[in-house]
Amino acid sequence: MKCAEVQNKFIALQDGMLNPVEKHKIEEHLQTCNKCQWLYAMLTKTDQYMAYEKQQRSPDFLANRILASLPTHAAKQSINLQLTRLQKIAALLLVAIGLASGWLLGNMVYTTDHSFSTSVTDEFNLGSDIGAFEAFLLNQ
Amino acid sequence: MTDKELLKRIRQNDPPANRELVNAYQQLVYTTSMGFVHNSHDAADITQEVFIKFFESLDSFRGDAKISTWLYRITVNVSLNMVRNERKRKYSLEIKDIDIPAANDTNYDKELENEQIKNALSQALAKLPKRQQSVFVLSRYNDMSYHEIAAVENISVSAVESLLYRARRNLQKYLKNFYEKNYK
Ligand SMILES: [Zn+2]
Repeated sequence: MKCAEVQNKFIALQDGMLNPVEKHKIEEHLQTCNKCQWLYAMLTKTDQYMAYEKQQRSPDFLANRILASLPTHAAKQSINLQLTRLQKIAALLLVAIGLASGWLLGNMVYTTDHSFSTSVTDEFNLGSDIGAFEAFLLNQ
Repeated sequence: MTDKELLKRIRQNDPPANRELVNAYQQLVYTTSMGFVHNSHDAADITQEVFIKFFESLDSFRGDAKISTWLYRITVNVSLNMVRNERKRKYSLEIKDIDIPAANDTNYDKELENEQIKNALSQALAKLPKRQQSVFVLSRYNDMSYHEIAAVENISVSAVESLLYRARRNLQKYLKNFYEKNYK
C-alpha cells in the first residue's frame, strides 16, 4: 500500500469504520513506515488535545465578572421595556433640566463608572495550558 | 424552570434570574469558544461578551426558541470574529512569541511537541471555511447532535452531515501539511 492511500484511511481507522482486511493492511504499513506512523501518532495526539480542551472548566471568577458587566445592559433593556413614551419624554426633560442646571453652575465634571473589569492577566497563568495538558495525558 | 419562565424573569430585570442564566449556560459558552480560540484567557473574554450580547438582544429573541440555541449562535459569531482578528494580527506581526524553555530542561521536547500540536490545531481550524469550522466545533467540543447543530446554524441536517465530513477531511489535510514540514 502507498503512503497516500494509507493516510486517506486515517479518519476511517480512527472511527473504526474499516473492515478487518483493510484494517490489517493499514496497521501492517504503519509498523513498517516511520513517516505514516509518526503522522498518525500526531493526528491522534491532536484529537487528545481537543479532548483535553473540551474538559476545561470555566474559571470560578467568571460568573461574577459577567454579572458585574451586565447591569448597565440589563437596565437599558428594562428601561426600554418599562417606560412608556410619555415617561421617556418626562425622563428626557428631567435630564435636560439637570444638564442645564449643571451648566449654569459651571459644573462640567462627568464621572463614569467602569465596573467592567478589563485587566484579567493576573487571573490566569497563560503558560500553564500546555503543562496542564501533560497532566491530562498522564491521567488517561 | 423552563426557558420561557427564566426569560420572563430576566426581562423583568430580576437579578437572581440573571445569575441563574449565567450559572446554567456559562460552561456551554466557554467550552464552545475554547474550540475556536484554544486558550483560557480569550475563551473567558468571549464568554463575557456573549452574555452581554445576549442581554442586548433580549428584545429580538422569540419565545419559542431555546436559550441554548440562541447562545450557541452568538458564541459562534463572537468566536469567529475573534479568530479572524487574531489571524490578521498574527499576519501583521509574522512572529509568534513562543516561550523557549532552557536547553537542559528534560521536558523540552515534550513541551515543544505540545506547543506544536496546539499551533497546528488552531491554524488548521482557522483555515476551514466558517461554516465547516463552527459545525466541527459544535460537534467535537459540545457533542451536539446533527439536529441541534442544524437548529443553531439554520441549515438542514444533511447539510450538517456533509459540512462535518468536509471539515474533518480538510482539517486532517491541513494538519498533515503542517506536521510534515516538521518531520525529521
Ligand atoms: Zn507510509
